[in-house]
Amino acid sequence: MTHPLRENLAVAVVDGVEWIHCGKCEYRFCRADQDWRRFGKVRLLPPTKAGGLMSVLSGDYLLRQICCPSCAVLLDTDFVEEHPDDAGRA
Amino acid sequence: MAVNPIVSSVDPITFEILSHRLYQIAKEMGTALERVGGTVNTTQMHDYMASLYLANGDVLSAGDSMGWHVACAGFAVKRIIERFENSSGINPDDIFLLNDPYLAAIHQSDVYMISPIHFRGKLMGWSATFVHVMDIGAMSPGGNSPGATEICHEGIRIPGIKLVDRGELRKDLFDAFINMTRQPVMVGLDLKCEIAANNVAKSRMQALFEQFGPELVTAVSQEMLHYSETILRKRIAEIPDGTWSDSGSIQAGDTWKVYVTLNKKDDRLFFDFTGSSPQAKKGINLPYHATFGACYEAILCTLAYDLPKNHGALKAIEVVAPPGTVVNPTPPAPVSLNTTSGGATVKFVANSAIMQMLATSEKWRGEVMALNAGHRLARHAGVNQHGKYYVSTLSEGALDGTGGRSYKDGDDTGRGLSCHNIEWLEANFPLLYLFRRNTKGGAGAGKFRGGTGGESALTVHDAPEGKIKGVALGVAGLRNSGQGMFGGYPGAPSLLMLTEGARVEETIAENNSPDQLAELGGTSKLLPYCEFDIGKNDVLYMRMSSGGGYGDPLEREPERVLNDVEAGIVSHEEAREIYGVVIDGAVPTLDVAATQKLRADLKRERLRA
Amino acid sequence: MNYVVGVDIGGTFTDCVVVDEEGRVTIGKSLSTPADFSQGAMNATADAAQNLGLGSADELLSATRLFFHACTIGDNTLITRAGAKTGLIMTQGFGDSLHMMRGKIAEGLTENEIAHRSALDKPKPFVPRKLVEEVPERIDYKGKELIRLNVEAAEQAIDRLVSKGVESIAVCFLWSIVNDAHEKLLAEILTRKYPKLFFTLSSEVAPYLGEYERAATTVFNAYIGPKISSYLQNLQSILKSKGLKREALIMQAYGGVLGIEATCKNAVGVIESGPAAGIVGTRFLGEHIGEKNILATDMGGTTFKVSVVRDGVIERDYKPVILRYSILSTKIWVESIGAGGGSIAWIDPETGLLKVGPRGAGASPGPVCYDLGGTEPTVSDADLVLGYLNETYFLGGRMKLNKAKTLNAIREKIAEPLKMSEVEAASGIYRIANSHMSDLIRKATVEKGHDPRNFVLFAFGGAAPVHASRYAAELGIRQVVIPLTASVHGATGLISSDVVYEYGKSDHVVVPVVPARVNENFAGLLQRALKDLNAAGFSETDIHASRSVDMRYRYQVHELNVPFTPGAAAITETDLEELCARFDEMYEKAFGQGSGYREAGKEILTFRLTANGLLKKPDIKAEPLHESNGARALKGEREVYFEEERKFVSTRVYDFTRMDPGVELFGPVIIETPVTTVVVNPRDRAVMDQYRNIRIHLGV
Repeated sequence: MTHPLRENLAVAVVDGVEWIHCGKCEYRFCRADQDWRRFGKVRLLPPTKAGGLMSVLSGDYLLRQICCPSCAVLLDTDFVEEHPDDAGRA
Repeated sequence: MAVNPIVSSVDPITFEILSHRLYQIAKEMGTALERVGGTVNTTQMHDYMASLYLANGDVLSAGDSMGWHVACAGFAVKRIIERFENSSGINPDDIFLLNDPYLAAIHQSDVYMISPIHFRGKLMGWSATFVHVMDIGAMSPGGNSPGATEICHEGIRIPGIKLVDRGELRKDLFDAFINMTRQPVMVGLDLKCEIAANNVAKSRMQALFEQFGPELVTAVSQEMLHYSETILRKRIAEIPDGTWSDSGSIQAGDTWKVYVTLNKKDDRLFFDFTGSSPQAKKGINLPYHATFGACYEAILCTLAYDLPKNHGALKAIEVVAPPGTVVNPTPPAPVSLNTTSGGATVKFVANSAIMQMLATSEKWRGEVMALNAGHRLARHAGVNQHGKYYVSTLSEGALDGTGGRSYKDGDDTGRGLSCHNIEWLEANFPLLYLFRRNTKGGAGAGKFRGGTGGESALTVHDAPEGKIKGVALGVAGLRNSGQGMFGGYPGAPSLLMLTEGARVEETIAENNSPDQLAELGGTSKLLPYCEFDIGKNDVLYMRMSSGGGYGDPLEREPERVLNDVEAGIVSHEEAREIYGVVIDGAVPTLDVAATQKLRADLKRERLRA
Repeated sequence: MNYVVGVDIGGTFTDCVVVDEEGRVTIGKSLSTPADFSQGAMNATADAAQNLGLGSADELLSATRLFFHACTIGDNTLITRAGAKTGLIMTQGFGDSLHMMRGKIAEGLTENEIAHRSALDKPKPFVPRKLVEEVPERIDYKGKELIRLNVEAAEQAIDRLVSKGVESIAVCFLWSIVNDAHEKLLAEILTRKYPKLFFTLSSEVAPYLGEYERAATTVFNAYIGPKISSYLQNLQSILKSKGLKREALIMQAYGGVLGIEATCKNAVGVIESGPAAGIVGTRFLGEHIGEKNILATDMGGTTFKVSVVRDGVIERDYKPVILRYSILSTKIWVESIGAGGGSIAWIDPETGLLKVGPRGAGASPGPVCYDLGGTEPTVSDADLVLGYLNETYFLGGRMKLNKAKTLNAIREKIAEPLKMSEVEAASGIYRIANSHMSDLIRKATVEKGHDPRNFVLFAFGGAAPVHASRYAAELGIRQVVIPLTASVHGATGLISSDVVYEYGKSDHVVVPVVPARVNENFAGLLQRALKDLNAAGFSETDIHASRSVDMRYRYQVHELNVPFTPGAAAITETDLEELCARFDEMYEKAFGQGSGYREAGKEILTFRLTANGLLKKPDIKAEPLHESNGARALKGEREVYFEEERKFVSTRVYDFTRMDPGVELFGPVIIETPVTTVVVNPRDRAVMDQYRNIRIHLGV
């Protein structure tokens, strides 16, 4: 059975196994029972990258973006609590 | 083609006619509330509930009431039946009052009136209403008390009294109730409108029994519940099974977490809030029935928007919320701030889980939209320019932007409720607005952007006491104002800011419009849940939430970005950096080639380590 | 000869009604001509002239005392968005007020549309945001100037709009309703810089509180104003060239007429003026037959409309919603739903339930029975199957109905899936449609605080006389009237109109109020009224002014319009006490005993003055009544289905054109007229009255 998972991600069965793949470039992320986010390309940015009005979040949050490692289509954008390790990577 | 009708015990034509009629009666109750009602909440914000029930207290028809309230109201009637059927009895033309959040209400300000409907001496059903009264005798004016640490600080709490006894209003109880509030006249008006609405329901239902016969009306009523349940279950069954989760934070000084996991199996939905924070000594806690109602509403707005709102649709849902947590508090935890804190957060995470679920279904993904966790709001109280003491709410919250959708943008300042005209506000209250407009740069970016929220600023004007009091309420979490969906960016958070000692009078005296806050100076602070004063040269700035975007902003049609720039909603800079769209010139013009190149560059940048 | 002529442009037909000095009514009809509506108007006039035995329209018009006209050009211009490119100028800091719409995204939508959250959208604005300019200025609620109008900035704003090609400008400043100096100054600048540019000031077109609604009204006026002006001026010159001596009088949405110049100044007033003409006609007919409480229902192809006359006064709407925008321009109150002869019956595939509407088959292809390609069964198709309509005599025999095709469609689409007979299916469609209409009438009357049982019901439109007795009975109404002029009631309304000017002033007053303030407000309004009516050729004796206020209990949002006792005498303490008592009484009537919380106090928000320039009404001729069983009009019998019998009953069919005043018929009976079919149910009794209206007494 094939069905969408969300915008630009889909679930499809290949050789009897359900896989999550990119809806744009078919890049295969992981098995359907795994968290696809761990297989995406993640970057952490200062909140103001989402606009000047986000400055009130600076210091507490970071803007996390997850995109397809192959075609770079953006799959998830959210604020996550700031963490020293993550901040270093941003 | 033959179809298998869902309705079997009555003919489909009678069903169509009577179900429409029952819906109309519940609506007619709402009309009575709105027209007689005293408060802004009833007449403008539609913060009320009016519905009909079966004899056992199951919701039969909820008209246009909000789903959240409909679910809670289902609990209210049952609590009254339990309390009175074996004590003072349930007699024709009785009306009961209840506002205990640990029984049914969301918080004490929601005052329920519940009335049995008899026909030829037999109890046939119930009607119930609630309105959000303007004051409930709590610590703070208006019923939302930031300082409360237990429910006894939050005003009158009544588990059930017989306010109207066999058609006779018990004036002693009525006066006792309104006497405990700061606004007895207005609260009295609210109670009266509820009585009127319940009377409408009674006479209309009795006429219906007379015309169609009580057996037929009861049979159709049963079928209506069956109908909603069957269709909803069928629709749920069509969606792939799965599990989705999300979390949210309630921020009010401290931070509390709300976790939800939604499990969809066959035709059932299980919401599990296990892991959410222990209950707070601040009124952000959401009683269980309201947590349940929030989940119900998330479904009602999407999978069941076209179904009759009744008990049947409740049956496909199960909600687990551990006792002693912010989503199922136990006494004496306070609750008065919960609609915009715990409630907004629970609604937000429940909706988020539902949206993720719907996105997996080809049939239902059109219903997906980015979510909005609500806004800050402010009450104000004091002596107005006409010399009268007042308490009121600034209804700017109607100016939230809505979230982007899978096929189109969210709406700017269009939450569906209504905000007062500035002229109405300035005529009635000692206020002067400095501006009210779309927030620039607020809309969450995306393939389909969120709607931008509104922003307003005001100061006092002609206030006999030189100042008024404000109460800062609403959703205090900055993170979740409008969350982006599937790559879409979050919208700008809602906030309240007080600037003291701003150059307002001076600017006006110089014949300049004080519409740029940055130029007015003064000292500014964000307002948490608190009380505050607005005096001369103080400015209250209110920014409503903007909707989050849907999908990757680099996939947005460049012409749409150009339109947004022309309308002042997106700046040139944001167009470049977020959308990868290059717009030049005094008359904004799209540079197609530069846009293509920039978008390719931005994508490469995303993949860079 | 001294004719009175009314020409009403409708969606399909343009009607003309002419009344001569003896009260004889002559009708003319022609197809409407959307490319240039004045052509259709002249064709209908020529048709009427011909029916009168006159040689030409010129001959009729040169002998015409009064020429009335109702046009749909305002509505058409808005709906097709064919108005002027319009710019909007607002107070600095408040330029988004119109687009924000106070957040009211759902206004003007149906319940189903509102419930579908993910599909909700705001309507497309009539002024794009980039054509809104903000100008520094500010006045406070008392009318005090806080910030003076920055003339230089205003000039630049106007220049920018003109450079973007605007053809019309709307101006709406905060609090211009209490101090219009800044709007007036802006008008001066506009006139000086661009003397030919059309513009509208909010303080003139909608001097009422509420900047969003006022801006919306101002924008509508600026948007349609240029088009209305050129249409009416052109029409007037045609009429003049054909011999009409006096200025044509144009129907306003509030149910009175104004001269062409006055109409052009307040173009927004013609929006939805067509239905207004109809309800004025209803009141006129009501006066003739002694009915003061009337529910006027109009069931056409796709919409069902209800409006109310109560105590001889037409119910008005002071804040109507037009194309999803709230505006502040008084109009006759009309509630409508998508239900009509063309409403499609369908089975919800998910639930197996029979539904009727809201989708309609429209004029083309129309119902299956029209045989114009329609395949979806409609309400009219059910009417045919049940024997209410005559397959060989529809629209007076001008159209043949295809019964075989209709039966097939109902069988295939409804009866078979529901496992019922065609007749059961048709009866179901008929009952559901009637029930929805009675629910709408109920909602409409209850929201206005009326009890439908206290009204007689008028049935207008082609489909209403087939259904009216049923939806009326459901509401406990005792009498249904099918007026003789049902098919041209808009034009009939026109000729019975007065010249009516409406004036209003927002003034927020908490009761008790000193009479001086009230009198001062009304004096200002009256002065304007006399000036306007004098200019329109009325002397003081022909002027009737009525005063009222919009009032409410304090802290309430909903208002009631409460009239003062008629007359122009100064208002006294006693009058004000009476006014308050009247408000309490009206309030209890509207919302039930005990609902009014008098302790809350009362407040007045708006002072209103309606000034009628009285016109001599045509006198419709009453005929003598002769008791009769109508044998002369009996056409024959046919099988007709009636619910209470649950079967087809052999039913007498009468020819309306051969019935005489005084004829009394006992149901079940069918009366066929050249434009519609009247169904008289078993146990009901129909009488033709002295004006040839059919009066059906229910359950007698």
